Amino acid sequence: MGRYILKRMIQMIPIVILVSIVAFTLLHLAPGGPTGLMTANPKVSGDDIARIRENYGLDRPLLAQYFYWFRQVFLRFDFGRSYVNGREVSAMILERIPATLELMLSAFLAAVVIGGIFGVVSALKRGTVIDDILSIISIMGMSVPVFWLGLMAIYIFSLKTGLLPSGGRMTVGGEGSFIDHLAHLVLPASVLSLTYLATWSRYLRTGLIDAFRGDFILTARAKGLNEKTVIMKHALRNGILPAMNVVIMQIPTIFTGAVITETVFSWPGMGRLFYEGLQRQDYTRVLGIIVISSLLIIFFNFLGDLMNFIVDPRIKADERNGTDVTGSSILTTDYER
Amino acid sequence: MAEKGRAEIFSSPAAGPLTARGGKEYPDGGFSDDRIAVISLILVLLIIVISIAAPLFTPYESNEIDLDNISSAPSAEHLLGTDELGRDLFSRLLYGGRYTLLVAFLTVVIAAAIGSMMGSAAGYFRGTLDRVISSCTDLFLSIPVFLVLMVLASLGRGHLWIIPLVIGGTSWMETSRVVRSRFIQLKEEEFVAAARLLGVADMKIILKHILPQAMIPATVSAVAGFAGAMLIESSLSFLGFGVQPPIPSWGNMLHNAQSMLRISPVNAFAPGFMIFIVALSFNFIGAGLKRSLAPRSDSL
Repeated sequence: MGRYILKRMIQMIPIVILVSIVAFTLLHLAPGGPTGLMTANPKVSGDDIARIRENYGLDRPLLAQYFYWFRQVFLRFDFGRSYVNGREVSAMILERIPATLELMLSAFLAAVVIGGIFGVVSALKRGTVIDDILSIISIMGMSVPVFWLGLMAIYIFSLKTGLLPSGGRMTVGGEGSFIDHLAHLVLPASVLSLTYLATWSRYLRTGLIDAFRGDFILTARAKGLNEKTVIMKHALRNGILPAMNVVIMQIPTIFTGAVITETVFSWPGMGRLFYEGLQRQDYTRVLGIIVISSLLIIFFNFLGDLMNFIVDPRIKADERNGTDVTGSSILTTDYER
Repeated sequence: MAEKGRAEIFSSPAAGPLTARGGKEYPDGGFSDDRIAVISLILVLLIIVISIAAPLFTPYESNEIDLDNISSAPSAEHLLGTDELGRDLFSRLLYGGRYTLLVAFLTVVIAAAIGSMMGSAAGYFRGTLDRVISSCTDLFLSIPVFLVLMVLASLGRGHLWIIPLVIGGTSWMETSRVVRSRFIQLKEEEFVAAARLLGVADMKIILKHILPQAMIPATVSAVAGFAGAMLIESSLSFLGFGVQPPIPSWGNMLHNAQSMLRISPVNAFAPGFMIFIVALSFNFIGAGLKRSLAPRSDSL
């Protein structure tokens, strides 16, 4: 166990370095490099730019810059200041955490519960009309563009019927009561959770069906265990693993938000912070969010592997490569995750 | 080879596999028995043909402005009404289909090409190369792909070709995985050993002997990836980083739709509905293909 953890942690190092190189390259690909926006501003003189470049260490050789940047960002979590308003990027991010958690946690929990029910029912009732209906719902959930679903939800529930507010986190100027918060949360959280539960329930269904086919289930049945024990103790434990992996791999988005949903519903979370940052070419902010997001993903990948190892110690550290224990792919299409 | 591929895809095993309980799992086996998949295929082909032949069906150019009809409701003159600039929605929808489908198609082709290349190299040579390619996959599994795509697309804004390039460049991993495992499997076959003994070069063995046999799973994963590619492009275009106006795409037609939602809801409904229907069809086709090729696995 200890050796496995150590091995997995050592494997993370090259990945972190690769991620940092990607982020650093992106920063320098931006038009005019990191100070692009200032050079374009006629009010900023050449002297100022030279001073700023010196402050940011941009006058040094590229490799030295990279090491400096790596130390600042990856070791000290200092993402620098926003090009747009000069505020600390980390402060801007912290500010968005509560709204992000509020939206993402509710969508996540709803998706886990409903997706779980969908998956288990589909697997138990496989081949029946119920399974067909649930399957079609989840394939529809996978195929619907999130932004369009959001627009249609706003049209139906807000513009036409006036049941729910169309966006924001609370009524502007209102005192922000609990009911008010809840009313604002319903639409974005529902839209978002549908996209999650569509995939999750499929993984759960497939995992459970594969588990039902496993030799150990046959053994358990042959031993004369009753069907309930077979399902609860044996099939569920193994069958849940692929879906658990997918869920764990998406936990990072709880902190980093959902760009599209937040944009459609004007939700003041991290996703929107990213979107607005990119629109205004605020690259320190954009890169800060990408780096945090990557570190979280790497960490939760590690946790997922650890979980697999605990449940099934036969898995070796380097066996996973995009494949989960049952051999089905964990590379889901991510357009709002 | 192509004939064999077709035969394999459309062949239907006599009976479906059995469940642990002893019941029959599938009433069907082959693709042609999968009614939803067949209907989806017909629908998709129909939409493709209409989009390509857009000028035949549309009375207006995609950017033709009718100043007398701005954000108008559906009428005899404009079948689905007009958008906020007075452009005919129906015409834009058909032209938009061209770009949306073209970009998704290019994306899938690029992803399949990179994936096949990576997968065959990793599966054939194994060793260090396999490890390098697998850490490449790890890298893509360790970054927020959609956010990075947004940055890349915004940096290359205005170039239509950059969209399939960046999306394809970040979605080849599934194909690579499939091709790799097929290569590992086929490499042990006698015909490969025979070719080796005859002194056939590695490159030729890969391209002529093994790759053609790995093309079927690669094609299936490409078809299944089409919906994803289209949804990513649409999302990017909706956010304003994808296909740039005045070129219409179903995604960017929705970019301004939100502010116009109250005045002309059909502008927000129609393009999204097209994305939904085509993505849904491709998902059904992909599921049907996978099921008929590997009836035991019913994962999507």
